[in-house]
Amino acid sequence: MTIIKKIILNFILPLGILFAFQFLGNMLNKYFITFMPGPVIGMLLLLLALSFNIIPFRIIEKFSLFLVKHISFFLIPTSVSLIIILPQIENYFIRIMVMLILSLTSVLIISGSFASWYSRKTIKGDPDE
Amino acid sequence: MNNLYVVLSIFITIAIYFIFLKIYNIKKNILLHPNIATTIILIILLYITKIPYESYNIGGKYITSFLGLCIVVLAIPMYQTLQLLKENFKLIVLTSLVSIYTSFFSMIIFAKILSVPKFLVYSLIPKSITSAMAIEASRFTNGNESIAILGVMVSGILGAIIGRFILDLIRIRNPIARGCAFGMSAHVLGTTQALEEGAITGSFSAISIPVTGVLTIINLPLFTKLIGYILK
Repeated sequence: MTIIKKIILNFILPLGILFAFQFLGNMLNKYFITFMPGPVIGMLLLLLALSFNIIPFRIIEKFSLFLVKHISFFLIPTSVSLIIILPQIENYFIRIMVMLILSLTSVLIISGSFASWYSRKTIKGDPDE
Repeated sequence: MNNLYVVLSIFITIAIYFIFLKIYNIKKNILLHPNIATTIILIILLYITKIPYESYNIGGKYITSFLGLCIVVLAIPMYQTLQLLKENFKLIVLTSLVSIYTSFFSMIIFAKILSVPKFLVYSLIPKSITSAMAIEASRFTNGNESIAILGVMVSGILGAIIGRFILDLIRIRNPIARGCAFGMSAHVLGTTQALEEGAITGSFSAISIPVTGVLTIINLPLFTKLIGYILK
């Protein structure tokens, strides 16, 4: 009996809650918020539910943290599909790489500089406010 | 026969993943990251054994079906760092917006110069966000999921390798700014590097991931329209 209870509390209940939010997100995406993917809506709703304590964090804590730790596992089959796509984009491969490196460098420099400038500005600005 | 493929491909994926999880715990090299290493090993295995990807994916698609759940569960790390986000809301959101517009427009400019066709750019827009969200984003822009993953992986690996070097080069020492730059350019893989630099850098990098993901997705309709106008 206790083992069944444990399985339900640690596994089925949190999984059910997560699926419910995914379902809710997908429904909202279908009928109302079409500009956002369903699971992302589900994520934001779950965040709201957790912050307003509608769903107590401790109920889903253990299971969710386990899942978060292993998210990358669920992406492996999609990543392996590179074996099909790489030969198809062979001609563009080097250009894509150059584009990605240049874009990444731009993002690093500009967002780093902006955040550094902004936090300096707000610290200096504080006494005046 | 199909059932055998299902069990076999799921089992092999789990086995290789756990081997690299153990190895990565000992040696934190970015190329040994379980996701990247397992992908590379599986691709090599499929290539050598000449097993078509479709056969592997008979089982693989069961693993992929949890992807939506993986996005929903991202609410948890966001909830845990909510205090940090609240305290630095303006800084994080503004920097994130700057970073996604920089990411987008730099891609457009370089794609134009290098004449990269737009069907590739559609899939590469979400390159700086976490893979689960990037796949969802590429479905949204009618892009290709595999190319989206390619963009995400390359950005993540490069960001983790050259990120520190570039930030040192332009003399950014503020740990908050470094954290934002890591998380917003190279998502989870950048965060592994940020965590090595310290707790502040690490947590700012971690909080940047979902924020950048959500803001990128909100901007997708605008981005896809712009690509349609600008690129061929």
